[in-house]
Amino acid sequence: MSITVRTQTPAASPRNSSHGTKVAQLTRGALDNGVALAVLVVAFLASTMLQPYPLLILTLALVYAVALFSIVVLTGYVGQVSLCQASFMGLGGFLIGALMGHYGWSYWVAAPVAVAVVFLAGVLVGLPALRLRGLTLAIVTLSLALLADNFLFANVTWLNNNSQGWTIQRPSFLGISLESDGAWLYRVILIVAVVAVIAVLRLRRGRTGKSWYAMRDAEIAAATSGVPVVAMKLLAFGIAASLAALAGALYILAEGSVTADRFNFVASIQLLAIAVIAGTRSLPGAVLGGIFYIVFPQILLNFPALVPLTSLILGAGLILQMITAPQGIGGLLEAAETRLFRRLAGGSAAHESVNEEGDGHATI
Amino acid sequence: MPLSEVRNVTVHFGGVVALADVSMDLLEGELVALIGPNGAGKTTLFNVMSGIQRPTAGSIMYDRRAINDLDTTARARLGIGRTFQTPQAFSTLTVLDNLLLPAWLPRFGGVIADLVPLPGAGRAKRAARDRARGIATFLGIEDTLGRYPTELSLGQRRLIELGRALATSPRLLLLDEPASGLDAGETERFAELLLRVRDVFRLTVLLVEHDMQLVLAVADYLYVLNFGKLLAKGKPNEVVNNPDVIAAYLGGEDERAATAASVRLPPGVVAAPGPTQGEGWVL
Repeated sequence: MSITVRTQTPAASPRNSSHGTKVAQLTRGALDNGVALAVLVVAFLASTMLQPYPLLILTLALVYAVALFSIVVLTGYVGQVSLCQASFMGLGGFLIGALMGHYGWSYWVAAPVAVAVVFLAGVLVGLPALRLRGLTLAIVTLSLALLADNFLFANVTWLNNNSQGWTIQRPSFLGISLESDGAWLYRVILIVAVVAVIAVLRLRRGRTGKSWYAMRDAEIAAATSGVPVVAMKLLAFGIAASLAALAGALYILAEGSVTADRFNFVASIQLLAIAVIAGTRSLPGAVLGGIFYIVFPQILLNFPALVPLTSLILGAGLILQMITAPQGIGGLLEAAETRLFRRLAGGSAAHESVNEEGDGHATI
Repeated sequence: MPLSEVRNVTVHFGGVVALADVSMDLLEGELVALIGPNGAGKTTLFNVMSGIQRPTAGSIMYDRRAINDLDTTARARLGIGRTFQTPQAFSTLTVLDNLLLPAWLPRFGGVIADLVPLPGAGRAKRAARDRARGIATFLGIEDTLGRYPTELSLGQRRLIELGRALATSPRLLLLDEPASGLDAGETERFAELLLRVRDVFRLTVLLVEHDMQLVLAVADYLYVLNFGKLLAKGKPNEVVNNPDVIAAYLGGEDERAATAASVRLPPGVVAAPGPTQGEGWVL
């Protein structure tokens, strides 16, 4: 049926009219992009200034930021929960090791293949989510993580290289050996991470992301609005799994090796806990979480007495965050950015500049 | 030829019979109202029609085909739109996005198109956006487009939900108590709006509503459900004078309070004297 309704009011609704002041033209999206660009510049400059060891730490933080971003997509954007994201990460790394080790594949071929395979695995894991939610789904995905620990990574010798894990020769990138050049290793990982994040953010801004939000807010109403709920949910699980696998691919690139103990169910639970503390709803939470996940143990190295208390500290942090900042540290940062934006744009203008197609979060 | 038919639909929840052998015809262009006390099975019937609840027996016909095996999304795409008793607007999407999404869905490679800007991709979105704005203007909620549903009043949220349902390009629109929570003036304006919506969008409407003033003002035809059974059907004025309906609504002494609260009639259509409860009139 073609619709015959036409807009009757004059085009200049109050929201569209310009406010005449220069500052009012600053939009939230522009501020977000500015902040993101500044962070990227700092991230790039770090590779020219840091010593090899701190740079390796930062590289790993970046890897875990990608892993945590997979939780942001699944939990933050789609409202689903998974306690096997570290298993997907490990599967990605192990598949690359196996493809390179058994068949002599190049890393640059093995990595995309592994990510694609884990996408399919993620879709399969998404199937129970079509019927389950919340705690039940958490338990099902946790048992899948245990299955991965005790079967996939423990008994499948093709995959785990007779329980030794894999050590790879890092490839070269445009003629630069990533084996010997730590700065370029970091930069390559930064580029891959940024491209992946931009791709997902494009999805989020498009009909895919709007459908995800709609499902998260009111799933039945989304279905009655024509949103293909089943397909979009499976897609979300697939994308989250492949982001985790990408983190695994970057991990094996950064470390040069993979072992199963880094990707057991405890790691999955830690990832989710840190994602919740750092903020599951947005990218800054993932970045902060990645830094925390890697840097926190480094700090603990200096205080050996605290090591047995790691879980306790994490748990206390979780409780503190639940009470003081339910949206996580990322949520606090967003609130701070909103205040900054209001100040820059001027009190009343800030409200008027809200983009009609805002999506409930900052753009980044 | 009816646009949609409910054929002998029965729904059991365990031992409870929510609907028993209910049949209805919805003629093209008609505004049909479904009334009955709370718990009569009205929302269950809506859920069966929109594919949320599987019927224990019976079938739903739509556009000359049985649609029992189609899921909610598929039925929405065939043109069955609906609203909910408690508004279910997408709370983290702006009002514009709420109205945009049904006309700009991720299908036919829409996911790929989100990733890679293809030529002409902007056109579909612009068309959907213009349509969303047109619907918002028609419903008088164009001022709210940039806001979030949580910031708006119940009445506005009900209109957003109606707008979202209209954005799916429905032929059959199911409205579940669209006027509950509205005051008398809002309800009156809603009645006028509903008739205009039906005419402009050329819809067939099935309306569940407790407010009899609204029902009698807009309905072409009336079905009465009671305890999951179809009690009466017919032109509104026939139905409100139907002795069965009056008896059922009056019932025993105990049930008077409940029915009085759930069915309110305006003065003038009272067919039988009864004790008034609160502001309402009892049939």
